[in-house]
Amino acid sequence: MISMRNDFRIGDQEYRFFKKRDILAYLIFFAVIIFVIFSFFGNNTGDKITVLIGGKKTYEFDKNTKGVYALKNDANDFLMNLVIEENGIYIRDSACPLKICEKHGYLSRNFDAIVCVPQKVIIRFSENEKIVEDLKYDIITK
Amino acid sequence: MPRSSKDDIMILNRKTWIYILTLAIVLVIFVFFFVFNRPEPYIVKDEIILGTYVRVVVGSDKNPNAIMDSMIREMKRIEKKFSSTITDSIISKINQNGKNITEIDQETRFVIERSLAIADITNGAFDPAMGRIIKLWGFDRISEPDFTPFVPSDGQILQALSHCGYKNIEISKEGIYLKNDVQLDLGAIAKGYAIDRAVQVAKEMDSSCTGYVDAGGDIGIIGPKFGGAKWVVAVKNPRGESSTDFVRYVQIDQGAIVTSGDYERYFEAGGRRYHHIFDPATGKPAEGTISSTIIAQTAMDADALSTAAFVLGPRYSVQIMPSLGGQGFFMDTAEKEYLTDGWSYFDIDEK
Amino acid sequence: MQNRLNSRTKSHGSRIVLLAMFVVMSSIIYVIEVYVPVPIPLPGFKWGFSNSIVLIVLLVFGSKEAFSVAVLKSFLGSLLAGRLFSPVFFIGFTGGIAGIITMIVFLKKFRNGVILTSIYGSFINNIFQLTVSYLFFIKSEFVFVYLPYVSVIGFAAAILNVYIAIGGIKWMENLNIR
Repeated sequence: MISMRNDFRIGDQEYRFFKKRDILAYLIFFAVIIFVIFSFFGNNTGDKITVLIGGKKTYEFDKNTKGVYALKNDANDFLMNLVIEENGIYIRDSACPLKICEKHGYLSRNFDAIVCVPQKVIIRFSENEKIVEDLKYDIITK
Repeated sequence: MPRSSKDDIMILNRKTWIYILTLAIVLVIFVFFFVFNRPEPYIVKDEIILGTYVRVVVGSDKNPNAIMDSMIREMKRIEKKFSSTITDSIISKINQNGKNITEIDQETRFVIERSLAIADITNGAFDPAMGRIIKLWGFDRISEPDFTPFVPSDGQILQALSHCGYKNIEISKEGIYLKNDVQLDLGAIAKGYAIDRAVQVAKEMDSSCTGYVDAGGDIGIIGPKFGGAKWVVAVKNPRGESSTDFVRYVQIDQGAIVTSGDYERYFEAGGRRYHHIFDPATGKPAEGTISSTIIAQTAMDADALSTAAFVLGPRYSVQIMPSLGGQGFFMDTAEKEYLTDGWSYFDIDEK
Repeated sequence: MQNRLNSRTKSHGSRIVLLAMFVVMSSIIYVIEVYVPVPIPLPGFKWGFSNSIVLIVLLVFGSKEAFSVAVLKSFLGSLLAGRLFSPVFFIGFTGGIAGIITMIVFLKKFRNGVILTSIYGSFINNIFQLTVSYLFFIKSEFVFVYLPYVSVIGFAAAILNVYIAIGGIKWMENLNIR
């Protein structure tokens, strides 16, 4: 029924299934899909970490800028070191005695936050400023 | 080309086509922008209030930023009023006056009477007059930068315990006074009350307001998610390795859910862990429970009941909590799970 | 033989009747598709087989008519499915418009092959659907995680659409509609 020929006519119009000039467009199509797949399933670029001190957004770090960063408050007192590594993000050398923020371990996504109550520091992913829709849960009780 | 009159009627010439299509597209754009193009559904703010990480989420058509500010201001006001460490708070005043009557306003009276009622129905497992014990262990100062861990001796504990107990609180028309040198500490209920007030403020400003208040895992719901769906609350695994390790998922669209655990506020000394929930019978951190979660109508009740349930232990709590107005989920030291009968109504996996 | 259908498309009366039929046919496919499961949990996402009718109109009649059918299909289809002016309708509507414009441009302006035209039509359609749901409804970048999946499904459906369209045209040419 359906002809295996490449060209066909409808009325006075002539069409082809494939044309030589399509090649570039096909290449662009597949390139876009491959690019999108890699940008989503490769490393997550553009993840930001927010540091709130005293309720104010004081620092914002990129997840990929590895290093050790000293966090200071308005009075320029040293509070703690934020470590950004390949394995994760954590706190060390906290200036307060209980060092709860160090015991927290790695910062996770999905509404997790490293909190130092005495110094009024909150460290979390910037994406938490919105409601994240793709999770199994909205809120954590602990 | 000659045409019949019948064909003439059916002709849709180019102008008509364009007219109809333009009309259709304008209609769609109009409806789109006026019906669906609403502002950002939720605004989120993080703060440290009441010694914990507070996350407020508000969705409203009527100035959500103003609602958010009022809620946070209200919670800060309650923190100042009911803290036992701030010297000019009403609780500090009552504690200083001791045997002499302190005049109290309606709000303070309401909070204290409610805590006494819960202390009564839980047979003292929840006790608002444990100030001496909390101060002895130093848990009133755990959020201060200069906190130092200290484990008191048994003698010291017994000495402090003899000046504890809610039955020493006398409340009358004139005011309140404390017998036997006890000290008030509303730490286990003030947070719940602050959440309830924040939720109430939001609802007063906009009755169709939605969102929630999360104060360190104690959650009060303002209204259902996007006006319709239920919020899914994950209950943290008390012995989980990661902070996103959960044991239960529940759905609620009103009321409150509060968890008391031995893993959130604690200090370590001599290789042992000392958490912040005290057994009024021993004056030491309560044993037998590692996590107790309560769903109740108000965060205040949920807060007090979860503390009481933690002290009473899962085996007993699972029997009595429904009759006190809370559905609960408890874990004992062997990590065995206990659910009240009504819990399955909220639980996603139990359904 | 092909000219039988073609001659009918030249007469204004039959033209309207045929176009109305095409609108109804694609609307019905649209409604049925609402209930056909898709492997992606995205609101309003469909296989897009109703676009094969739009493709028939584009091949047999021309750009204007195909555009009209695409627009009317969205209205009538979502009216029948009971979702007119719902968020899903707007997502599908913007996607449908973007898709048909892309197809017209690729087929008539760039004079590309029919299969490529169909592929790009569905691709741009999907991108618009995701963008609209991101901008106005879901508001989370996470919707774009689905882009690779919808592109692959759209790719398969687009090729099938071409053969459905050609088959449909042949079938209609062999009918004696009078």
